[in-house]
Amino acid sequence: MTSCSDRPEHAKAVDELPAIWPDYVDVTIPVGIAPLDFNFADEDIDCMDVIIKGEKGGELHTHGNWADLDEDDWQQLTSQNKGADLYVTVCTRKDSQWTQWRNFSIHVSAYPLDDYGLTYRRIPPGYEVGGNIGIYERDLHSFHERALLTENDLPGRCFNCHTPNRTNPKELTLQIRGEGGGTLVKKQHQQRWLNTKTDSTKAAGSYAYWHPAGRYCAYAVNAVHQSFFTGPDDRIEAYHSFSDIIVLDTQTDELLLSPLLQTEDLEIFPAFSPDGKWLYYSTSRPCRVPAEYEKVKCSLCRIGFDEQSGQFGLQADTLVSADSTGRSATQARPSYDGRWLMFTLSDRSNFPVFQRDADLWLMDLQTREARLLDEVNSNDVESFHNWSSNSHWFVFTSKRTDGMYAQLFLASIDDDGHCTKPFLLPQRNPRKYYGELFDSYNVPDFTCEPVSFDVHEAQRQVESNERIQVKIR
Amino acid sequence: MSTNRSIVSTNRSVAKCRNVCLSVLMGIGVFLFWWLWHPEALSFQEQNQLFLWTGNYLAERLSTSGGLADWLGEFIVQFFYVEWLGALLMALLFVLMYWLSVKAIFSPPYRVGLGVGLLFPLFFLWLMGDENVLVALPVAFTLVLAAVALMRRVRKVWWLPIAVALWWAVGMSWTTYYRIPQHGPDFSGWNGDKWELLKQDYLIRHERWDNIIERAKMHEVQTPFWSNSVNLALAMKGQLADKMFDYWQSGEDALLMPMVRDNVSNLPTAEAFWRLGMVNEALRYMSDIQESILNARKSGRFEQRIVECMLVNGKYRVAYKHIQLLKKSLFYASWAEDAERYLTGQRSPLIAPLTAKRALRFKQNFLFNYPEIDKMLSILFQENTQNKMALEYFLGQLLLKGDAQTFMQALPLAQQHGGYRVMPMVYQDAVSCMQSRSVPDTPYGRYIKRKMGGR
Repeated sequence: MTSCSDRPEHAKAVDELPAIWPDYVDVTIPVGIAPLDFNFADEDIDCMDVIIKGEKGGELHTHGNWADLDEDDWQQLTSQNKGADLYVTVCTRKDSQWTQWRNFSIHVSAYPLDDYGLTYRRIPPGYEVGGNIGIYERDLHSFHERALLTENDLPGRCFNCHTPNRTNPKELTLQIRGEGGGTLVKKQHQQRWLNTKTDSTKAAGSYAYWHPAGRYCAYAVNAVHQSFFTGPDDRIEAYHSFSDIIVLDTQTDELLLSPLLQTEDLEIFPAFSPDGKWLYYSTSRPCRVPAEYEKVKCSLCRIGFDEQSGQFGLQADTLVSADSTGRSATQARPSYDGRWLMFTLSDRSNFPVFQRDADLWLMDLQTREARLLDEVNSNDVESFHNWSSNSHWFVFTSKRTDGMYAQLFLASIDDDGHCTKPFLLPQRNPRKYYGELFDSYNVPDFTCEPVSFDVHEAQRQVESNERIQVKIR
Repeated sequence: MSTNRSIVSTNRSVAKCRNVCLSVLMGIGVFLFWWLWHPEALSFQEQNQLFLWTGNYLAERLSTSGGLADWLGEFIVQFFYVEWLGALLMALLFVLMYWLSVKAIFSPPYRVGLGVGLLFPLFFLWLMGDENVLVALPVAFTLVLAAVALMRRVRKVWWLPIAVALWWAVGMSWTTYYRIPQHGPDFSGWNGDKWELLKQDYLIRHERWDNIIERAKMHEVQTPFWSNSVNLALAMKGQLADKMFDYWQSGEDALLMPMVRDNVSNLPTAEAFWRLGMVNEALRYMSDIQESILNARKSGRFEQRIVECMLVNGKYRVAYKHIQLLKKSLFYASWAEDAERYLTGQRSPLIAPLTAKRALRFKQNFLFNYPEIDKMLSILFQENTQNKMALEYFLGQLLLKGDAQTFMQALPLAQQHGGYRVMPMVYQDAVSCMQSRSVPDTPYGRYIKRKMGGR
C-alpha cells in the first residue's frame, strides 16, 4: 500500500455497497461495544477514508489502510445514538482514483449489553493433539484480551468447558481431562478441585451448567472420540461412546443421579431452566459408533428438578423429537428470562461442532414452536451459543469465514424473537488479527465482570494431584 | 623497561595469533560438524519453528524476558534451511562464544584462557546432542559472556543497567531454551539411535531415497519409524515388492504407523500418506505433528505440506490463510507465492503435482480406521489402478499382517496392474511360504517366524 495522506477528491460515486471485511453492513450492535474496525476486501487499495455519522448526531472520521476507529470517539458516538442508526460512508483509493461506495448503516440497539465481556477457549483446530489451548477473557468494550489459563500454566493438559453461573464468574467450573485431571469448582474466591468420577459413574463431569441458585451444577459424564474422513469435504466426526448426566451438589460434594439420566441412551449437554425447575438435555439412542455415526440423532428433552430436595422428576418431556425431525438437536440453552430456548440442529451427531449443516434454532418456550434462525445462520457450522445476562444478546461460534476456524459472532434478539444480523467479534485491524490467528474459538460465554482466577493456586492444586472425591447421594 | 615491554608485546602477539588460529580451527571444526556430520540436527531444529519477518513476531518475542535470545536463536535457525549456511552461522556463533569467554573470564595474555575457553563451545556442542535444546541457549550464553566482558571494561555504575538488559535479553526461564516445557536436557550427547532416525527423516525430507536404503544396510534401528522410513524409500525406488523383507520389519505398523502424539514419530508415515495419495491422512498427521511441537511453534515444513493438502482438497479459503503465514518467512515465501498463484488460477509450478495428487486420493468418503488399513489401501488402489505405490503398500500390509488368504486373492492384481516382468521376489517368497508345510528360512519366512514368536 502506498502513502495514505490525501483525502478523497473527485471521488467516483458507485451504487454498490463497499466490500468490507468483516461484513458489518446493516449489523446491529450494542452501545459501548468495541469499535467495529474493518478492512476493505480488496487488499490492493491504496487507502480508505471512512466517515460515520450518527442519526442522533456525532461524527467520526478515520483515514488510513483500514478503518481504525478511535475507541473513545466510537463509544461516545454509539452512546449518543442508542436506538438509532450510524451511517457509514466509505471511500477507497486505488490507482490514484477515489471511489465513493454506497452508504450503509450500522444499527445501535436499544437493548444494552451490560456484561463486561466474553470468556472462551482458543484451540488450534487440529485433530487428536490439542496444541496450545488457552481459556481467555475479552473485554467487549475494548480490544483487550486476557489469558486466564493456558498451556504455559498447565503444560500438556487439556482443559475445557469453563462455565460461569449465568454469566457470573464468581461461580465457575472447568474440567481438566485425562490423567491427573479434575473438575474445578470455584465459588467466590475458593477454588476446589474435585474428582467427579465414582465407581457408579463412568467418567468425570464435563459440558457443565449451573443451577441458577448456585448450589448445584449439572455435568455430562462421557467419553468423546473422533474419527476422520477420507473424503475432502468433512474432516472429523466426533461422537460419544457413552454419556449420562449427573448433578453435583457443591455444598456436600455429592452427586445426584436419576435413572432417567443414566440410561442406555446417551444423555448429554445439560442446562437448567432459569427458574431452576427444569433440566434440559439432549439424548440419543446408542449406536455402534463410529460405524453407525450417521444414525446418531438427539432429541431435546427436559426433566423436572426440585432444588429443595435435590430430586428429579419421574418422567422426561420431549421438546424436539429426533424421530419426528430426523435430525439431531443439541446444546439447549434457555434464555435467562425464560422466554426462549436456543439449540443446534444438524443432520446427525451429539457433538455438532464438526457438522457443516449445524444451524441455530430458537424455540418459543411459551408456544413450544421452534424456527430456524435464518437471519444468523450460514452455510457452515453454527454452534456453542450462549446468552447475555439480560437475554437480549447471544454469542455463538461460526466457521463461515473459511470453513475451519470457528469465530465468535454476536447478535441481538427482540421481545418477539426476531434476531439481527450477527457481527464478528471486533478486533483492531481485523484482517490482520484474524488472518494471523491460528486458533478456533469455542465454548464462548458472557461474563458480567472480569474473572477473578488465581492461576498460581490452580497450578499448585493441579500439580498436587489432590482431589476431593465426590460421593453418590 | 623497553625489553620487558617488548616481551609483553611479543607475548600478546603470540597469544593473539594462537587465539586466531584456535578460533579458525574451531570454526572449521564446528562448521564441518554441522554440515557434514549432523545436517539432520540442523534440519530438525529448522522444521520445529517458523521464523516470521514481521514486527509482530519480534515484538511478541521481546515482550517476555529471555525473548531476545529466543528471537536471535530462531533468527539463526531459519538459515538452517540451507545447510551450509546454517553450519556457517553455528560456527560463527561458537567462535564468538569462544572469543567472548576468553575476554570475559581471563586477563591478557590469556595463556590459560585460550585452552579453557574452548571448553564452553565444546560443552554446548555436546549439550545440543539433545535435539530439544534450542539454539537460543548458546545464544543466551554468548550474550551473558558479552555482558560480562562489557562489565569488565566499564565503570561499576553501568553494571546495574547492563544486568537489567541482560535479564531482559536472556531471562531466567528454562522454557526459552528447551523445547519441552518443564523438562531439561538429557545430557546424552550425540550417541544413540535417535540421531539415526532423525537422519532418516532428514533424508526423507530431501527425498534422498538411495541414501536411506544404503544407511539401512549399515545401521538397523528396530523401531516402526525406521521400518516406515526404509519401506517408503524402497517404494519410491520401486524396490518394495522385491526387497521389503530384506530389511527388519517392525510388524503391522511397519508401513504406516498409527497416530503417536509427538513431533517426530509419525513423520515417515505422514510422508508415505502424502505420496500414496491419502491426502486427508497426510493432512491430519502433519497437523498433529505440528501441534505436538511443545513450545507451540509452527513449522515451515509441516505448514507447507498442510497447505498442499488443503489445495488438493480444494479448501482454498483456509489454504489462503496458511499461505499468508508462509509468505512472511524467508525460505518458504517463494513456494507460498507459487501456491497463491495456484490458488488464484494463475500459472504455477504446483499445478501438475497437485493435479496428479488429486487423481490419487480417495473417491469414496468413509471413516479412517487404522485396524483396517489394508482394506483402505485396497480401496485406494482399486479407485486408481495406476497407483502402484498403493498396490504395493496394500500387498505389503497383507504380508505384514500375515493374511495369506487375502494376499493370494489379491495377487492377480499385482500381475495385472503391477507392470512387473517377473513376479517380485517378496511375493514369490510369500507364496512359497504359504504353500510350504514349514516356514522356510527366507526373508519373509523369518518375519513370519518372528511374528509367531519363534526365533
